[in-house]
Amino acid sequence: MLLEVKNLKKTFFIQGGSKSKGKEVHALDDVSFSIKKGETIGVVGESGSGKTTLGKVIAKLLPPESGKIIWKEKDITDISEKKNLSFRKEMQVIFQDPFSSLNPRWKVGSIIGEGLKNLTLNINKDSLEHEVLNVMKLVGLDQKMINSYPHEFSGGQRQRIAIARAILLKPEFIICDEIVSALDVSIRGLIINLLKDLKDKLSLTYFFISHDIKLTNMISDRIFIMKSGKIVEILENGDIERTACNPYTRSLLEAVPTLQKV
Amino acid sequence: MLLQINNLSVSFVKEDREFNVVENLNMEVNKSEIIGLVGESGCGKTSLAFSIMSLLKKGEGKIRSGEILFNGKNLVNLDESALSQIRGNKISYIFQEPFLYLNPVMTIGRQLAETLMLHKKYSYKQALKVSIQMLQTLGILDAEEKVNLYPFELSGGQLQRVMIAMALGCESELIIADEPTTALDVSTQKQILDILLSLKKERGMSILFISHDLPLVSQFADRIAIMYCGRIVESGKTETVLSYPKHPYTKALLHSLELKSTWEYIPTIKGEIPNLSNKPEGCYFNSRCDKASEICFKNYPDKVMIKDEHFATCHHVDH
Repeated sequence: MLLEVKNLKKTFFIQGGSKSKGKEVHALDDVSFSIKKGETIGVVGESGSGKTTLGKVIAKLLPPESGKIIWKEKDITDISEKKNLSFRKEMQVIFQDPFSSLNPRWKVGSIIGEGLKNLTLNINKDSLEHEVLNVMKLVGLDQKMINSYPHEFSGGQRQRIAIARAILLKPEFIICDEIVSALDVSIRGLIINLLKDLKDKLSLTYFFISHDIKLTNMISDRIFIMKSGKIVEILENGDIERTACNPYTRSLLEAVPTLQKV
Repeated sequence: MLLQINNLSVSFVKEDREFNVVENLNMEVNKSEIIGLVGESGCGKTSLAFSIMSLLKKGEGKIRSGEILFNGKNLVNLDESALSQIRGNKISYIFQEPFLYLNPVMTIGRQLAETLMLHKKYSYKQALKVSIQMLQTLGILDAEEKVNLYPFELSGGQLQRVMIAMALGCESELIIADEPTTALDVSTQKQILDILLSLKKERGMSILFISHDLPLVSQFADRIAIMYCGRIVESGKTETVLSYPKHPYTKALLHSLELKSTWEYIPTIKGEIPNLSNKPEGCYFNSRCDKASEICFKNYPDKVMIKDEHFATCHHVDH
């Protein structure tokens, strides 16, 4: 197993407003699963279902309240960041909004190269730039734009920058958190096709978080359906409209608009 | 005819250059009809909506030519006082992010009442009562308590209902809904759409529904218009356009929506959407189109009628 999580729990406390009292929200409520190398896992749920929290906890961007995260047979739940640089390289995250996840004052070359620069000792400037140019080509960015700023790129291109930044470190596992939700359909296709290319070339494992159950079904081997911090159903890729049993999954499927033709 | 837009051109000025974001646009909205205006980001659909509402920022965007007739009255260059009789009253606007357009330090009830007091000349008490009724019609439970809350205490779906309640209270004839469900979950989206549909059926309201989501619009729009680079490239009855698309852009969009159940490449459109400030000669879709011939790089195509109300602007429409 590449990744195993056991009984993950995470609770947030939401402060009350003028008329309401605060309350506890169980973002993760006893979540367990394991993922094999090369698998693509889809995570589908509505906002507030805990899917983003799950991604953040796995990537160790948020500490879990209880439970275990086992990466390559090693318990990394409480291991410190400094002792665990190799894990940071092996697992990368791409976020939803390519407008807020890229530093507007940095040149694209520095944004893409930052991770490699920080995690590799004694890397010289030329070889760093060489690596950045290579990865820009791989994701289909114009190499001439290495000294441009994020605002000079369109939404789809910015998402390519975020993908380039993630794969530069040659990770094995990439968490994609709603990475195509902010994009137009014609651009969505380009990014999903790019993910497929990269998976074939670099044998990646994806953890694809999305609210789009149809798209997620296409690319995933298994889909976790989340609701109120729990995985309520796990679907195998295929004819999910036939195989889905859980009433919540069914209601999600029914709410998805399909093209109405004659 | 409730709304009729004739040859409308809207231009923006950026860095001393003026360019059209809406170009020679014609559109009609009948009474109790839902029109779906579909296009990708930056195609000018929001600029069109802003023009109808006269919300274009002065010095940034302006209507260059054409007319916008609402119940036969031209809204272009109408003075501010005449406009305020119509805007927010006869025509309501629902935004993509209600959170940005509601006052964060004013209770929901006050904001709803304010609109009614202005347009309907109600007293505050009366206005609040009507507001509560409207919220109840829209399926908000305990509306009497909800009106005392501030926007941040409500969910996205509830806020969108507040925006719709404003339109309802004023008995608007036209609602312009600009991506009203994009920020919502699919199940909430369905509830909001059901509400909009019932407004059309029960109150005879007309809706101009602006969206990038073709499958969504296809659920309930009577007619559909596809927009590309500030122009409408294809329009017609929803089922006709989607079943027999004639414009290469419409066809390509529909292709990119076909998802298999195993991971295969999604069909894409080559090239990128041209910048509105730097559109190509001839047809704006020419460099991305497989059918493009010499004429496509020379002249912008005329509107071709295919069959009752189904139009496409392309040099190579096959009948």
